[in-house]
Amino acid sequence: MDLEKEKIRRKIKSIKSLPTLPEVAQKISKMVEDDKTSATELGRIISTDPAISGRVLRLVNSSFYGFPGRISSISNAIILLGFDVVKSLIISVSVFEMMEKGILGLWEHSLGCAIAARFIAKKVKGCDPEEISVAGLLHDIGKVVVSIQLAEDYQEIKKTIEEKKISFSLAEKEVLDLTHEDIGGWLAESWNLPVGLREPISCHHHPQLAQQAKLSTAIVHLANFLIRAMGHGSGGDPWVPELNRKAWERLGLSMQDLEEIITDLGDELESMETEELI
Amino acid sequence: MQKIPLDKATEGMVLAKPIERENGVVLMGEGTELNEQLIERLQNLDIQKVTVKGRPFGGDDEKPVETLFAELEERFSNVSSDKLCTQIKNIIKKDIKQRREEAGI
Repeated sequence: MDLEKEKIRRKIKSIKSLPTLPEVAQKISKMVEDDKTSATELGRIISTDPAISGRVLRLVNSSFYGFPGRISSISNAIILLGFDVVKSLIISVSVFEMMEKGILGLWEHSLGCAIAARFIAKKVKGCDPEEISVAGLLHDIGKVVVSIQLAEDYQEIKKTIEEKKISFSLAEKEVLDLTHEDIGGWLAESWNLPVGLREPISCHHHPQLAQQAKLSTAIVHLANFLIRAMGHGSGGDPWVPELNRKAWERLGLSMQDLEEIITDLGDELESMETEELI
Repeated sequence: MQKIPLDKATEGMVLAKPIERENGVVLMGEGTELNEQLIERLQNLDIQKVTVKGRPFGGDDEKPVETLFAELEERFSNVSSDKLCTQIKNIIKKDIKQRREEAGI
């Protein structure tokens, strides 16, 4: 028993050395907090990392944002989207590579969840669709850590899902006694993400546990369900997650709203697929 | 059916969806065959994307609709007793069906 506990403690300690953000992302985090920082200045710093600025531009010009014209510079993106969103985007694209190396299909799942979250947010009063879509993009960040930093346990989790036919979360609980929500929450804290991103990451399967960002968490909870329901990308197991009734009620959506969201989402996923081909 | 940027549209492509203004006014109907003049007109109207029939840019062949339904059922197999989940499943089913009908398959 004690041996088991010791093992888990060691594991947690090893996860505590969480992935760090690229230097440019750290610099930007500090600059965003300073009121005197201008969009041009911030744009210049981001542009010093061509890999990251290239990915940010690709993302803002994809159907994820859907601006009618092309956004050609980072400064323009900052003016259109605001400092906070660009900061979150830089964090998102920084983890993109990690995501691709981790679970097959997780990036597609995450991007799809972000788009779904945006469509839901547009129908819900009193929320910020930009921030919520970034929350959707990052919600499964804990799974990236599990699959890369705890590679052996990840194999065990995969085996457990197949053998016992249980969800990723339940299998995690069995193997690690922790879930990607816990780990994602630590990561969000260590990266100083705002609570509007932190809680959807740490509570997207348990929206009733959100303290401050209740609405955003409920939206990401539903977005995650919908994108799994539509079979786009992969979240690590083949089933839809549980749908929390209270979270659904909090959003106050009608079945008609939901139909429209699903149609819009389907259109967007189709056009994204085509973009890949052209 | 594929939604493509207007600058990739070429003569002979057929609209799978009408082109509408934001207020719903139809500018070109479904089934319109594009030619150079029409494409130029759409450019002048600042239309960014059009949905055309077929798969001019390739991609995987569409799965039979029965396969899609079976996969959908499998994804929902763990929540089959939940009423709300079943309602959502049926909306997605309807969406799949509609997409197929629009694509003319």
